[in-house]
Amino acid sequence: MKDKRAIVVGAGLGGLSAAAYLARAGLEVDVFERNSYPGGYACSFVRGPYEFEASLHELSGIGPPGNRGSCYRVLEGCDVARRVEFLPIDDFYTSIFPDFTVRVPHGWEAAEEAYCDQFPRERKGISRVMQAMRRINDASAEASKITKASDALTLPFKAGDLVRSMGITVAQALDREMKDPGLKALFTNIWGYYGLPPSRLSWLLFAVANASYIEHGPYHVKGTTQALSNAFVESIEDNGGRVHLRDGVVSIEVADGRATGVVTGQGGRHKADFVVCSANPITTCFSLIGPDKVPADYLKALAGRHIAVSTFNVYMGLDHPAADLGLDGHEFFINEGYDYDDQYLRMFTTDRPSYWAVTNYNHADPEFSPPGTSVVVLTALVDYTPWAHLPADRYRETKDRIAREMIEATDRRFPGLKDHLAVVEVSTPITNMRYSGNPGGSILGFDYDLAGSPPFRLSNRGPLERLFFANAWVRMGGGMETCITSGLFAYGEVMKDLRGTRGLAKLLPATG
Amino acid sequence: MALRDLADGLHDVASIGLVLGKQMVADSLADVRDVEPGLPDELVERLHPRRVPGRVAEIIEETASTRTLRLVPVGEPFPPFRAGQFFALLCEVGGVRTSRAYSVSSPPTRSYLDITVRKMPSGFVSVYLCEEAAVGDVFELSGPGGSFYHEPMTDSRELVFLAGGSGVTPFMSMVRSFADLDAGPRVHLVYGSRTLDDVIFEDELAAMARTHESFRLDLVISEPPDEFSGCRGFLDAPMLSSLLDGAEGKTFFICGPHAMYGLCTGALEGLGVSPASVKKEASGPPPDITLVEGWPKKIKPSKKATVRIEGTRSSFEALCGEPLLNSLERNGVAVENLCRSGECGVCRSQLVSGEVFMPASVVLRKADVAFGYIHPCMSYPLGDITIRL
Repeated sequence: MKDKRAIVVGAGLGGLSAAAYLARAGLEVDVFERNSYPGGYACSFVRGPYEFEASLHELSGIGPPGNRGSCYRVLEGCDVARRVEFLPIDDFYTSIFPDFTVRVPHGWEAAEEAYCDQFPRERKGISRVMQAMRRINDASAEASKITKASDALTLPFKAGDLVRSMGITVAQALDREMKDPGLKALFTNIWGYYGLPPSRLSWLLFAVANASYIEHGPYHVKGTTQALSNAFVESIEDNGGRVHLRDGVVSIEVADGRATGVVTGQGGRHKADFVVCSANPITTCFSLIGPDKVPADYLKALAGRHIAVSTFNVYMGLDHPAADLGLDGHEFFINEGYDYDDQYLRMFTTDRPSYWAVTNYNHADPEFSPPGTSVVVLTALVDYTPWAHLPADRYRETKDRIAREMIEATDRRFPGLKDHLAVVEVSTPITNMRYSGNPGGSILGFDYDLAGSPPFRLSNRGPLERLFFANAWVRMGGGMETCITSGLFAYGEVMKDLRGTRGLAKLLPATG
Repeated sequence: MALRDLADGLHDVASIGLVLGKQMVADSLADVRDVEPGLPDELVERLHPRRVPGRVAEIIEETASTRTLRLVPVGEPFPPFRAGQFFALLCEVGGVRTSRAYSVSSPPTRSYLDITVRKMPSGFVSVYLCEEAAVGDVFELSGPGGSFYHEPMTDSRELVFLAGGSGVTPFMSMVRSFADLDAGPRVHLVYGSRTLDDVIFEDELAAMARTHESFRLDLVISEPPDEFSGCRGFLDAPMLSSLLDGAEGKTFFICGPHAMYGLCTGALEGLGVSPASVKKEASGPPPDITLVEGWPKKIKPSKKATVRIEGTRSSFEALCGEPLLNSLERNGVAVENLCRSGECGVCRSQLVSGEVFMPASVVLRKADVAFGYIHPCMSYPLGDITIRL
C-alpha cells in the first residue's frame, strides 16, 4: 500500500494514533503539526527545576499485565505500548466535601464498599447502580463488536440497560436508586472529567468511562504524556512515516467533493489519497476547507452541538514533599457543597470555582520532581465565554486573582501548601485555545449531553469523501483513551475505503 | 419485578419526552450562540500574536555603546507582557534571516516597547541594531516570552536584583513598573559595570533611589576612576555579603554576562540562599562555548562538521563552536525560534545521528531527552550530524 498516501492534520493524540496505525498498514504517512512538539494536550512543559504534566489526571483503560484494558490494547496495536511505561495509581479519587471525605479505591467491590461505608443505609441502591454500570459496560463492549445488522437488531433485547442508558442522564439514573444528595455528589464527583454535571451528563458515557477506571484502575505515564506522544512519533517514523513540526496545515484542497491534499504553513503543497484531521471539525470546515465547500447539512450539524467547557489550571512546583502536607493520594476533588448544578453555573463566570481537582503527581511517580520537592496542580472546569469578553489588559490580573483564591482555598484543606510555592504557572481557556486550536479551548470537543453521548456523536467520516476525523469531537469523544481510540476508528474507516467495504457503515444512519 | 420494569419503562418514555424537550431548547440556544470559527484565533492573537510589527519611533543613545530603540505599534497594540519578559526581534543582517531575544526595558504600562541594545565587539545583530537601525524602520517581533518576572505568589516582598552590564534591562522594566504602581515590593538593585561610562540608566535609577524609599541602588564598578567613592570590584561573595543586609527570606534575580552567573550563584550559596529563591534569566549562547563545563576539550571550536537535514537534500558545513541554529540560518534554513537560550523549546528538533553538546543550562523535557530531541539554539555539533526538523 506504499502507493497510497495519507496526510494527518495535527499531531493531537487522535491524529498520532491514526498515523501510527496507517503507517503500520504500509501507507505513506505525513503528519503536519503547527506546534514544536507533538501530542496536543498530551504534553509537558518545564519551568525552572519543575516539569509539569499539561493535562493528564488519570489515564483509563490501561490495566496491569494480565488485565490489560482497551486503551492498552489500542496502543499495542500501533506498536506504542512497549515504548511507554505506565505507573498505576492506587486509588480512583478522593472526594472532599465540607462535612465528609471519602477515598474511593478502584475495583468493583472496593469502590462499592467505600460508598457504602459512608452511606450504609443506601447499600441496596448503591449496589444496584454499580451492577447497572457493569451491565452497561459489558453490553457496550459486546455492541462494539457487532458487525451484522441482525445483531444490532437484537441488541435491545439482550442489553436493556445499555439501550436505556442512551436516553437518560446520570441524575435520572441515580434518582431511582439513591436518596442522599451527599451520596449522589460523592458517587458522581468525577463528573469534571466528562465536562457536564450529572443533571445533563449522559448516563451511558458516565457508566462506561467510570467502569474503565474501576475495572482497570487509573494510570499515570512515566515522564508525562509527552513521553506517550513522543512514543507515537517514534512508532510512526519507525514505520516510514514522518511528523513535521512547526508546519501546520493552513488549507485542505478539495476536488469534486473529495479531499485531495493540503497546503502547509511553510508553503508545502502535498497530494493525498486520504486526509485525517486531528484538528477540530469547526476549524477544519470553516478555515481549512472553507464553508462553501462543506455540505450545508454538516455545517448545521456542527452548529447544533454544544462545545464542552475548558479548564483553568494552577500548576505549582513546591519546595516540599506534597505527602507531608496531607496530600497522600493522586487525585482529590474539593467541593464547597453538593450542588453540582451550582458548581457548573459558576464555570460561566470569573468567580473562584467551587469544585476543583487537586492532583499530586509525585504520588504515582516519586521521581516526578527533584528530591524533596513536588508538583501539585489545581484544575477547575471553566467556560471560555467570560474570558472572551475580558479586555486584554485585564487578562492577567483576572487569572492571577482566581489562582490566588484557589490556592488560598486549597491551603485551608491542606495547610502549609501556600508557604511552599516555588513556581506557579497558570493556564486559562485562552491558553487551551492557543495550544490546541480548539474553539472555546474545549478539553472534550462537543458536550457529552444526551445528544453528544458516544452513539450520537459525529462520525469519524468527515463531510467530504476521503476526509476523516480522529479527535475528541467525534466518536468516541474527549479524554485521552477515547482520543487514542478515535485514531483507530479513523484508520478503520480509511481501510474500508481502501478495500471498498463500507459495509455496515453504509447501513447505519450518518449521525450528525 | 414486572411492576418495577413497567415503572421503569414508563419513566423512560417520560425521560425521552423530557430529553427531546431539552434538546429543542438546546437547539434554539445553539442557533443564538453561533459557532464563531474565527474567534479562538482572534482571542489568542491579541495576547500571543505569532508576529507583531513595531516601528522605531525614537532612538535614545544611552551610553557610548548602548542605545534604546523605542518601538511603537504599527497596527494593533502590542500584546501585554510582564515586566522582565522578552520579545524576539526578527531582522535580516548581511543576507541572513535571524532574530534575537531582548528584554523589554520599558514598563508594561506604556504603549511602546523599549529595546535597549549594547553593541558587542564581536556581535552580529547587536552591531547592526546599534549602527544601522534608524528611526522609521519596521521590525517584526514575536513574544512575549520568558518567566523572568516578579511573581507575588511565589516571591518574597523583598527582592534583590543582581545585574551586570546590559543585563540591567529586564530590571529596568520591573523597577519602572513598581515605581508606577508605588505599591510594589522592596527592591535592592546591585548593578555591576566595567566603567562608570558603561552604566545604563544611571540618572534615572539614582533619581528613583532618592525618591522611592522602597528602592535601593548600589553600583559596583570593576574599573572605576581613582576618585570613585562607590563600590569597586565584582558581584562576588565578599561584595554581596557586604552589600546585602542579610539574605534570608529574600528572592534573588540574576541577569548579566555569562561569567556573572557562576560568580553570583556561588556567592549566594555561601550566604545560605536556597537555589529555589534564585531566578536566572537565560541570556543566549556564551561568547566562548569551550569554557562551558562539559565541553570536550579535544574539540576545537573552529572544527568543521557536516550537518544533514533528513528528508531534504540539504547539507552544509558548520563550525563546532557555533550554535546549530545560527549555522542553519547562515545556510538559509529557517527554524521557528524564540528565546535562543535553550529554554523555550520552540526550535526543538530531533537528532537522528551524531553527537551535539548542550550546556547544562538547556531546559529539555525528560521525554525529549529520552527520545533524542535537542534545542538547536544551544546545541553545538561535535562531529557530523543528521537532524530532523
